[in-house]
Amino acid sequence: MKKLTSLQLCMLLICGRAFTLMTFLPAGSDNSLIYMIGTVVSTLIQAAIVIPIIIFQQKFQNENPCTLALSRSKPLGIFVTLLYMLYFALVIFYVIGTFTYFMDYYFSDYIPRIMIVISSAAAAVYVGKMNTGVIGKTGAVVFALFLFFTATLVISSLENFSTVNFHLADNDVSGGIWQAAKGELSRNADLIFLVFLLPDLKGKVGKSSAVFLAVRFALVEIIMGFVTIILGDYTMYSKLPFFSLAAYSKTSIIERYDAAIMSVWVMLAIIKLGMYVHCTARCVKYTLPKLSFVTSAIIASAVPAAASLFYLIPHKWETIAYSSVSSIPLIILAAVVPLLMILFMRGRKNEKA
Amino acid sequence: MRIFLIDTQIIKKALIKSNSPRSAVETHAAEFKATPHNYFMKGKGIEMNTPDYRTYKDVKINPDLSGAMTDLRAVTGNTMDLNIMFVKVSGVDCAVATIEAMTSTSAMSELIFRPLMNLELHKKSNAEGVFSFLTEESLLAAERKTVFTYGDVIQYLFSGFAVIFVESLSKAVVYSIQGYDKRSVSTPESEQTIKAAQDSFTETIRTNLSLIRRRMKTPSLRFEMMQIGKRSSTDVCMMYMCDRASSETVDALRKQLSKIKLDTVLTTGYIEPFIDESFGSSVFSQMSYSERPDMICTRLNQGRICILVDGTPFCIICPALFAENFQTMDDYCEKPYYVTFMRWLKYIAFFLAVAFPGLYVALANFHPEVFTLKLLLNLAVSEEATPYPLTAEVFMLMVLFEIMKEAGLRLPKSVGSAVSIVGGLIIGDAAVKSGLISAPLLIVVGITATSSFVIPSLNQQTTILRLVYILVGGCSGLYGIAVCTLLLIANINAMDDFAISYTAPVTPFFPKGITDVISRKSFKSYERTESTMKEYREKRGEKS
Repeated sequence: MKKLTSLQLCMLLICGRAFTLMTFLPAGSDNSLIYMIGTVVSTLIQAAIVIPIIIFQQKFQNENPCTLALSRSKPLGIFVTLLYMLYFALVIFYVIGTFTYFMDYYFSDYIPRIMIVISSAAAAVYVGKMNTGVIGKTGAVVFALFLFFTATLVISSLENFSTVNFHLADNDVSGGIWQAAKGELSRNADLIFLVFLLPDLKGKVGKSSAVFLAVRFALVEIIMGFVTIILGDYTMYSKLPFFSLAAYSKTSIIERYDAAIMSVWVMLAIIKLGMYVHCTARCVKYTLPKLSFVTSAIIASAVPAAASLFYLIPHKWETIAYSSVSSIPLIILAAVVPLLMILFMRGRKNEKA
Repeated sequence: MRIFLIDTQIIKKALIKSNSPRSAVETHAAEFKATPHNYFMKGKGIEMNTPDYRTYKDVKINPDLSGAMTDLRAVTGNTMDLNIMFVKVSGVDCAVATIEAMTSTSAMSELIFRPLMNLELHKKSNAEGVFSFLTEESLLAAERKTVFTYGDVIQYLFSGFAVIFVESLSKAVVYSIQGYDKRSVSTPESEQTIKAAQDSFTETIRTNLSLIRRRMKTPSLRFEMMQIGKRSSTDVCMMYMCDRASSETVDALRKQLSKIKLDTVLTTGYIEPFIDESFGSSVFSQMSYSERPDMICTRLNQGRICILVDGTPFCIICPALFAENFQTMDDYCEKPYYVTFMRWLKYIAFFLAVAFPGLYVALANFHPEVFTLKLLLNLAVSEEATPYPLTAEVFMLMVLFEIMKEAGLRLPKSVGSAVSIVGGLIIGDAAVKSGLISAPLLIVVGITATSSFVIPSLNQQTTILRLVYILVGGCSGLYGIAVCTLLLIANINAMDDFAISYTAPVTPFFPKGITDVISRKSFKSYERTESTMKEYREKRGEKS
């Protein structure tokens, strides 16, 4: 049964993006205005990536690349499924590690890293074992909380606004824009859900994509804009600009907002992890159908979490956290694989004919 | 199927011997009591099978009147509250069976005995004639039925009906003349209102049905009565509006109810786990309770299905929505702006009841930078003097509060108030003065306790969640609280019994219904748009 509405899918994607937005801002450029312009370019590239997904849905209706490949040829299906599974597992590894690293580094030196990994992985299993509709609904609530806290943060920082902080003073503006566009694109790994969750989607993927791209663009631009207006050039030097802003803003009731923002950030992380655990567990189920979904979810969460501990415990995560992430796997799995299937596989209607 | 035969000749001989039908019956009953299941007639050498309490249900009524009475006594084990009276009606032998204190003696004498004693059938003065008079030519009681098996006889007999047996007929007629003692309709105890109706359900299902029916004079309101409980045969009534409720939900619920194989059903709680799919997996419940007939009528009109259980003054509403816990009947007697304010107050109270002590512990222990400097200094000074860690302090105080609440709840009202005075004022004051707990903490617990009384329907959940939040907040600060909150949100979102999401109309978002969550719609807008469960199902893409 289809469970996920277009809006819920959109909420899930935005939750994923909001988590990345709050976590770390790989500069590419040290000028935030250039980063904001780069976001425009990145949005156009993402719109291009979405086109094959829209055609894929039109042609193959309720299939995703894994189910489609499995229905045509088992070896091909398993190969495609493994590709997606590997990608999802890598994202879980990266998210859980980065989340634990920043959590430990900035907020909770009172909780051991291993406890953060175990608790977040366990929470991700609980969320991931549910159907996409439930995760979508939970994502919508968390996104509402995110908006509420962000609005509170912005309102409480209004007195520090300065438009002088916007400038284009940079040695290589065009190069900076391109670097920012690439960096911004690599931070949208969740685009993969658009193609993978097609069998669950009630509506048209085009609608979800359009809403997501518009909201994501607005969100990034507005938040980056506010952070820049308040923090200026410090935005791009700060590892967590959003939290820096939260620590900076105050009201007569609350001295600092970073603890409150951290709560929302944790929720966003669990939602994102839960969604990836769900998708990985599905891939495990596609390849090993006899396994129960809960067992698949446990495997999907435990393996990347355990792997991340090898870097987290000896304090080697910095090398991963601050390194740039390539967008090529995303482009291959979200656009190239569906495109190849559109070109070389016939739709169900044509098959019957 | 096993067929039981009774040698009526033997019984007749026994009757002649004793010259008293009653004593013969009693003799047989005594014999049966000695060997209840399968006994031998003394000196006759004939094996005789008599239905007993395990095998009576499908056995047909013995056409021999004395035999039938023997069977009845055998099945009931000659129970002392079974009354059997033999009478001659227009020359035909009849017996009237009742259960002591279950029937109204005045109604029985006026409505049954007087007409029967005065009956004179001139043309067809035989058993069929009498039975025809009882079932077709008279109106001796409001409810009348013909029964053919001992199963039905026992069912009606123990429900307070009078059963009339007629000689040579293997059927009987039952009359509704119940007259057992029952509590009268009184004011609601757990859902008090100021301006709304002041009547509530009682333990008698028929009275409760009348309270609903008189408010909803529409033929689309349907009552379906069924008996659940292998031994208790409790009357359970499923109520719904056929033009509002989803027929699939009605069918599914009917099926689930018919599958219940419990021995006894004594309260609504017995059947809830069988109809609530998420009963074991969720913190909240998609079944809610109400003791108010007006609330039930509102819910029925929204397409819900309500279930009444005989012996319980509460009605189950299914499916229920989370937002409804914050709605009362008084909301519909006040101005919308005031009700909107009250509703938001209740949301805040729920948040405080669940999370306030946990947040306090988390912030004070791990994130003191959130507090303003003056507040932080005050808290630090107060906490410095106390001997225990803050988490243990809050946890112990909350447990103590629960103990006092439980004591006040179970004790008589007069003593209950004394418990709260001793517990709340004297112990609290002494604990602060002796330095065991800090004064700010007492304020936190006081606010939490007061807030928890605002939404009594969520008492179970708030109590447990509050303790969980204290522990989690005390161990891992806001990180733990955030994880816990997310899991709770996911848990609530996963509830969708009968294809209705517990969190509707918030998630999935339903614009027509959301206005009643964030505010209270005016009656003019209810006139235009009353959202029903059918619409929620359709929103999810389910058929109705």
